[in-house]
Amino acid sequence: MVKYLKILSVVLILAAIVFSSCSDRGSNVPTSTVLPNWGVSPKLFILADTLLSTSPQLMFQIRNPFGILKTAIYVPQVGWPPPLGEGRPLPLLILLAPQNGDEYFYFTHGLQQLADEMIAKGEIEPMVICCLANDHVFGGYFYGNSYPAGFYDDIIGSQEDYRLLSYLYNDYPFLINSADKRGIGGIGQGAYGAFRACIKHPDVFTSITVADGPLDFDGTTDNNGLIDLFDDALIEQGLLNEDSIGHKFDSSSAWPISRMFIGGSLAFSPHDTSITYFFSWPFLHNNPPQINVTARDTIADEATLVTSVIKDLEAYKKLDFHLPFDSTGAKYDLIWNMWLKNNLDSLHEAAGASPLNNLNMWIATSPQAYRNYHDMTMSWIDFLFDQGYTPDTLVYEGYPGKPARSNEYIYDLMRDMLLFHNNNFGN
Amino acid sequence: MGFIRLTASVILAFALLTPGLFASGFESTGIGLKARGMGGAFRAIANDWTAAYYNPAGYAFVYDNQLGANLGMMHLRNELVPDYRMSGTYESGFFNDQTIYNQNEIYTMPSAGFIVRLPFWGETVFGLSAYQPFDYSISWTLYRPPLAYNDSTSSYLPSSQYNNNLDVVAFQLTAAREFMEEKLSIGIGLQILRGDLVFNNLYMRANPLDTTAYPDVLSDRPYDKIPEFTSNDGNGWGFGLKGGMLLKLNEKINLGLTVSLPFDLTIDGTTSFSFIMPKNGDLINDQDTTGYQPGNIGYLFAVGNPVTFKAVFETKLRLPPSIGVGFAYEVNEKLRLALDAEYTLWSRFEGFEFTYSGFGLLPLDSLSVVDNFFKYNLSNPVDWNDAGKVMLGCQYDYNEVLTFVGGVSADQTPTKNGIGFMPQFIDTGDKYGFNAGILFHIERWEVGLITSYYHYPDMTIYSADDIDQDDNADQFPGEYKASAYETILAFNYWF
Repeated sequence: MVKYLKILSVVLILAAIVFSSCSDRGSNVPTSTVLPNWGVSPKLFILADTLLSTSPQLMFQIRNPFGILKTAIYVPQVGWPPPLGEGRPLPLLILLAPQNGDEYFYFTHGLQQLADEMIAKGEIEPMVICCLANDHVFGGYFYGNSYPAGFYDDIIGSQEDYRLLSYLYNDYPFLINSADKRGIGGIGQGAYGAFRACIKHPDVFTSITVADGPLDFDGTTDNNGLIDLFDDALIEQGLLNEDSIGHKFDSSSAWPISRMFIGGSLAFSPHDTSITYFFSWPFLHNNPPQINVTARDTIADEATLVTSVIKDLEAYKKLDFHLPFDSTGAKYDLIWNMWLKNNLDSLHEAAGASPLNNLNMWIATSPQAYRNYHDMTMSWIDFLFDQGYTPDTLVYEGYPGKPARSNEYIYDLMRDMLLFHNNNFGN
Repeated sequence: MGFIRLTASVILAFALLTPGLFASGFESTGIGLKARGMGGAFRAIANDWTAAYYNPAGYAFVYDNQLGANLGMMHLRNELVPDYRMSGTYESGFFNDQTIYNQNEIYTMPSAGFIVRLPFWGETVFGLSAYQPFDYSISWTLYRPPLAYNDSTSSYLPSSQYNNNLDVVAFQLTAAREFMEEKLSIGIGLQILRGDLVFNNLYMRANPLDTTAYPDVLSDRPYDKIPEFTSNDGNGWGFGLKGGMLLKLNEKINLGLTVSLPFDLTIDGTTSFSFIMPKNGDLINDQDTTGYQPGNIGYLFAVGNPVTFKAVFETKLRLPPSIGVGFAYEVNEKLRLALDAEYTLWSRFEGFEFTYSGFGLLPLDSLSVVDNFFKYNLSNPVDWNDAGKVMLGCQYDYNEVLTFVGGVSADQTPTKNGIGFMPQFIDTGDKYGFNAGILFHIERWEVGLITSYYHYPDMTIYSADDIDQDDNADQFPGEYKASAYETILAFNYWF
């Protein structure tokens, strides 16, 4: 009997091993995240209002007769009042596009799905994200302040009526109208524009997130940065050491560095420094405002004046500009100094004591960034630390074969940007 | 005893000096009832029909005709925690940092054969058998594209993404005879090999529009890598040889020597391609942008529709030769011990290089950038070492009805520090096998059950390296855990 029990035991042990080793563990494959059905809406703000007499805003912007500011806005549905949503108060994030970026720039890099996913997973709280387009004619005006470029200092960050923020708070009443629930960010020219807005409008934003951009025009040595790109712009067009570049300089999209300097020059060194005008709006469908220029002040120097780019426009919009460099690619101090007045450190100094004191800053930079943006960004970071600020910084690189030169990794950076703003917005 | 010590020393030294590699690779765990129970240490015993696999010379000492069959049921219980990020940083949709199991499957390895003693050329013993010298089957789901890449893939995303179902069946005619009566025999097996391969893989292909000719946004992250799923399903025929010698040194001690020479198989069949294309609705819907209308390359790379087509493929399966030596010692009438070693030339196996032709209809195939991208020949190279395996087994005849068998084995891994390590071949390191079983002898019948457990070490692959410089990663980074269980049911019938 004992013998058979032993044999039975052996058989049972073997059977137990067999059955336990064959059990189905399942696959462990994660389930997919269910996204809410929140969308992105284009939104056009007309910033050429007859009721606004204090600022021409975008009224003179080239090929923008209606003075339209293009935006695309991500609105979580929970913000809308019931039954559409939950009437939940939401913070606001404004993102500025880089050169050649339109209002969909961040969305074409996955912002909507990223925000949807992060909100669905509880990584961030819902927020409204308003993305601004850069100029579509020359790729961008650095969000500067001039007649041809538009008066972005007045548009972005101002809390007065008929500006971006007032339009947003009016159209989206569930937005929390409070500085500590308001963030801004950008990459490239958008990075410059975001910091410019924060300096021009202290205490309007609680947080800023930027990635490589022209944040210090003259770089770490005060003699590089954009200065190193002067001859590149001329070489692009085959104009280095050519005579009369002012009549030859072109804005072809094949020459992105040239276009950057055109946009910057229209913003920082326009030929027309002051325009006296009056205008009327005929209130007829599809008719733009009628502008009558009565007087102009211009820069009395023609050494680097470019007259070949702005053409075939109505007379009041024939707004030429001065390049900050001459035909040899050397900086032309008279004009370059006008650029430097728009450098962030100059704006910071002009703004008075510590305009960024209450701003939480996050700055990403890639040593692989093109156009000396890394050098300029590092110089700006050094400046901030010298001024006593403590920005969060991220130095990143692309993977082999895919260097982080410009916008390649904005998808990945946006995750960090959203998290940073979310953390600063609080509950 | 001096000879025993000498032989044992030689076998051990042989095993220890062999370079590190898992003798299994995709080799099957073996066949048979006693043989598998003894951990594969059967080359110097080889006294049933499975000698066709272990040592054909054993047939000469089988004095009765025999018919036998067995069924091996293998369950691979592996785990992978992927760490597949571009440059270790950038997420592209792999289930990183999550423990994933291979898909549950118990794959079977049937084999059968018979032996007859015929009065040819003295008394030559013949046998015909069919078994699987190589068999492996595993499947994983490890990827789902980021929602920002394409949020509408759930209906067509393959589940068997990394899959390898490789079978090589040998139909073997075996002949053996004694050259020294009761002392020495030699056997040879002529094989017809049939190979069947289903090999699925995911290639993260560099977006071909990453050039100055196309807008950056089409290839910026997360659209920088385009997942290409391939499923190759084909088969081929070939030949192989088995040879062996069995020497009975005295009444208690046997020595066996074997060699296996499979020739290369050319596998051809059909490949199904499925490219998960980027979906960028904001580009398609943006009224201000041009170039994203149907029929345009920008549309193809932004609208998010999958690109699927078929082609004919051909690849070479380079099977590894092996040599083996076995030593058996009959301690007493009830107890027998065996020690075997095998050395397999796994370095001959170079993975798979697929050559495609006969492509189905492709969108925009008049554009060279499209043609070059979608019709690219793919490869899955491995860089393996030759490997050794040592097996130690015992057989205990409890009584006339019952026999217990047990065995252990130690296999070196062929993988070189993880070079070319992919989820299709989970061979994480030197492995150890533990086998036990019970045999019942009932008149002319012998039936039994064997169960085995294989323990693998954990392995971590740190980077998605590109071995053959074709811009596709040839190893899958992550933390691997592996183990395997096998159960064998078998019978033999003597007549």
